[in-house]
Amino acid sequence: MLEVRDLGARYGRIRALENISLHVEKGEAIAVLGPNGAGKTTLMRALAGSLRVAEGRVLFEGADVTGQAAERRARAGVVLCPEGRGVFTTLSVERNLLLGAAPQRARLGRHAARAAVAAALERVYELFPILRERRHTSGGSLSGGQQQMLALGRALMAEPKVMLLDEPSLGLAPIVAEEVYRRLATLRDEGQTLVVVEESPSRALGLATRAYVLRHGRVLAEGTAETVRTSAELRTAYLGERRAAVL
Amino acid sequence: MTQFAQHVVDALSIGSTYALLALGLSLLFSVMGLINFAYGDLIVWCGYFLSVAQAVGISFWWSIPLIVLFATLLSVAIWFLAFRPFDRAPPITLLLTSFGVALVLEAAAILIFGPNPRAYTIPDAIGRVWTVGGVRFPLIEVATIATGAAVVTLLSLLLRRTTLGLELLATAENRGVAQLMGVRANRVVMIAFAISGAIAGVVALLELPRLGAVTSQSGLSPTIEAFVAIILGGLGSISGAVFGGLALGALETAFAAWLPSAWLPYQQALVFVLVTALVSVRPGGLAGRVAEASA
Amino acid sequence: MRLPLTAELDRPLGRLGVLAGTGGALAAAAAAIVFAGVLDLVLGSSEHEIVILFGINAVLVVGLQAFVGNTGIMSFGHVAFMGLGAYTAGIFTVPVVEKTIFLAGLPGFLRGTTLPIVIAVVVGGLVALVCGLVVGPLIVRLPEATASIVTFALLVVMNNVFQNATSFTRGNQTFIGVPQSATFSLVFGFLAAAVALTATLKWSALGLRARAVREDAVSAEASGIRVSTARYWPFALSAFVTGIGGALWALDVTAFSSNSFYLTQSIGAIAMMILGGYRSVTGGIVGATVMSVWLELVRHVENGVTLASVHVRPLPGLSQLFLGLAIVLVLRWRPAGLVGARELQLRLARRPKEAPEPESPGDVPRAASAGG
Repeated sequence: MLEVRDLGARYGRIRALENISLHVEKGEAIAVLGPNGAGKTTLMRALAGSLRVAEGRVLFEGADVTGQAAERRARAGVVLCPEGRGVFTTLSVERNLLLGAAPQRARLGRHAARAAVAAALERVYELFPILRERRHTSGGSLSGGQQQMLALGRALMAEPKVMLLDEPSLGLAPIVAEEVYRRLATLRDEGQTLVVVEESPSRALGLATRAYVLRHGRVLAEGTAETVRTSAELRTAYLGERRAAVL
Repeated sequence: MTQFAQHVVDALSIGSTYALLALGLSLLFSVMGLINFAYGDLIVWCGYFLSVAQAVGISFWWSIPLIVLFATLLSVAIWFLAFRPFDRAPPITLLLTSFGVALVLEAAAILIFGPNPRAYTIPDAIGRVWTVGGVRFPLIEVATIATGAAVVTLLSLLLRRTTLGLELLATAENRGVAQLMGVRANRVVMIAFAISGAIAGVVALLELPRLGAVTSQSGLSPTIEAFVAIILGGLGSISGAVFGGLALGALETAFAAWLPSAWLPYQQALVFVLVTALVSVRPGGLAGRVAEASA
Repeated sequence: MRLPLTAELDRPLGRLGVLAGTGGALAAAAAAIVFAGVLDLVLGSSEHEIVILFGINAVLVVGLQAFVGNTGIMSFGHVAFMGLGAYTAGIFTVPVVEKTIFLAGLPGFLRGTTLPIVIAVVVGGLVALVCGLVVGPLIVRLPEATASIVTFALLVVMNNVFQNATSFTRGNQTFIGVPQSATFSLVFGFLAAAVALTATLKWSALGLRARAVREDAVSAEASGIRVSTARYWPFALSAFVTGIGGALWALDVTAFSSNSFYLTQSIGAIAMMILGGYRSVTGGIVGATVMSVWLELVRHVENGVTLASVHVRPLPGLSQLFLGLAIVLVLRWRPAGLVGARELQLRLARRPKEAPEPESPGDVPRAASAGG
């Protein structure tokens, strides 16, 4: 469904990604792992369309979307929950969620979309009851975990075909991160296609069916979650060759 | 007592004008980081438009909607030609660009209409003054206050209750994330320019009767007042802009009314010095919040 | 023959480096002076005025650049300093006899004193400096965009003062009687001095601190640099140099009023600075040169000119149109100006070991930021 081939990306003279090839099929949950600076966030931004790609192609549902801007890609069904969540602090929870439905409105037309958006809102409130409770409070007054739920809910409002999540457990207490991942598991079970980037492998591997390991902007390893979990490459990516060899 | 009431009326009137100008400016700063020095020139061109309209026989009353429309379109055209290419530039660059745009707009006016002031006629009805209990209520001042309140209310409703307003606020807070949500940021900015232009048109209608004639430099004073109002209210806050405008109007009226006569010629300077001192002590302005990219 | 000159973004370290940097800027000034001298000779006495104005503009631009380039804060209010310098120099050079008639309101000591031209110019700069020292603390602690807006306020305040302090300035009435004393050597001598001062500041620790704040205020603060102090010294120097420019201007035009010191006067200096490159002293000089030449040509067209046998009718506003377009186009296509951020520097014999080539500003991995 979503694929990149030989992707390369740069920040000025610094190479962030090189020769990345990766694919996600419908209904899959994929984990992208790697230490800081490996290029995970860059990859997410390239997938979402907020980064200009230097080489290679991004394909979505068979079509080449490489040059497409983020706004169009979101409306086509590729939605990113950015690192740090990107909740609008000056808007209420409900307005944050309603904003997420922009792709719906674009697809169906404002009037027809009203029913669909209301239904989507209900679904999100059922999945995240805390959001219903806080629907009229500002996004900025939520705790970290609640904000993450808000970001997830907002992405869901778009009825995305693929959900990209950049470090959903970032800055969250372990118990809160657990909750977030429980919801993600529910989504996965319902058939939502997910790509999750995490620095810490264990949770992401518990969620995913397949995984990629990035290091220095390249794919170091790929395979099923189990294979990757125990792989030598995973250790190398995080610890470096020497220390990994010792273990 | 009537003296004080008179001052209140005058202060509200001036303050409403400043508030509207600051509001128009604030919209552009919010969505794009642009402090538009060319804003006052929209008013200038509305003046020329009015003059030309009258020359071809259009009455003042019919000109009213035409002027607002003209200002809206001109604002969007300026965005498209001059500011769209600078989409992601830092605020200083944008301010300088708007400076250049202002020069072009003013020079174009001189080239087309000549350097002399261009007059227009205002119907006598506009000059009416009602007197209630010893307090003078000039029609134009009442209209200004009423219009100001109406515009602020309408805009507030737009921002709080509509999808468009939602997209605007989201883009203003974090454009990148808004785009990730599928919001067409370019369209939002264009609409911001349109609204801002419409507001300028409305202000022009309220100001032109007072001026009587327009020159290429007529926009300078409103622009600077709007700038000062916007920093008083807090750069980056839309509601702050309104309060800043009203506060500035109040300050100017108060100074004009209560300064000892020896100091009266320095009224303008003293107001600005006070505002500068206030802002220096509280850089976030009345709203207390500064939404700028860098320190 | 290879000149011992190079155009670099940054200077080599150490005292030799400061010398290289300052020397380079002086070389640029020298080139401009020579150019002006040649032009003067070639064009003859009828166009002498243009050459003098070019020199004065160069001083004003260099003054403005000292602040804008080092702090990244755009100032629209520097005309205020120009006015202070102009009125001060005027007061101290108008002959006592005329002062008694035209400036009867002056305090006795001012009325009865005149100073030698050079001293008067320096005093003009000093008065502007004092104003800068007083006003500076209000401006330098504000965020960049707010600070720029406050400079507008400064412009209005000073204009108001000039208009109303009639015993000193004659307000809206013309201030006359200033002896025409802006000679080539006076103007360009001060230009050289101004360039020396601003270049020395730029390459000194003070300049470096200011530019650190310009690049990233948060990091600078974390490194122990006080933001307001770092910006303060460039502001003060900039006021001083602009005041001198104003004084020289007064000695050239000999008559002016408070209307002379408003926004219109700012336009030229700002446009020249942007055109040449607001980040370097060399840029300021180049900008002033190019713009002065260009403006003269345009002004001829504006006043109506006969090209071949076709008479082009007068077109007022044309020069302003071009200035505006120049600003927008330069900012769009080459925001760092003709010269970019590079400075002319002397290549001195013993250079300390080169550091590895730094990445040029455009390559810094930050989210898109055009200009500056």
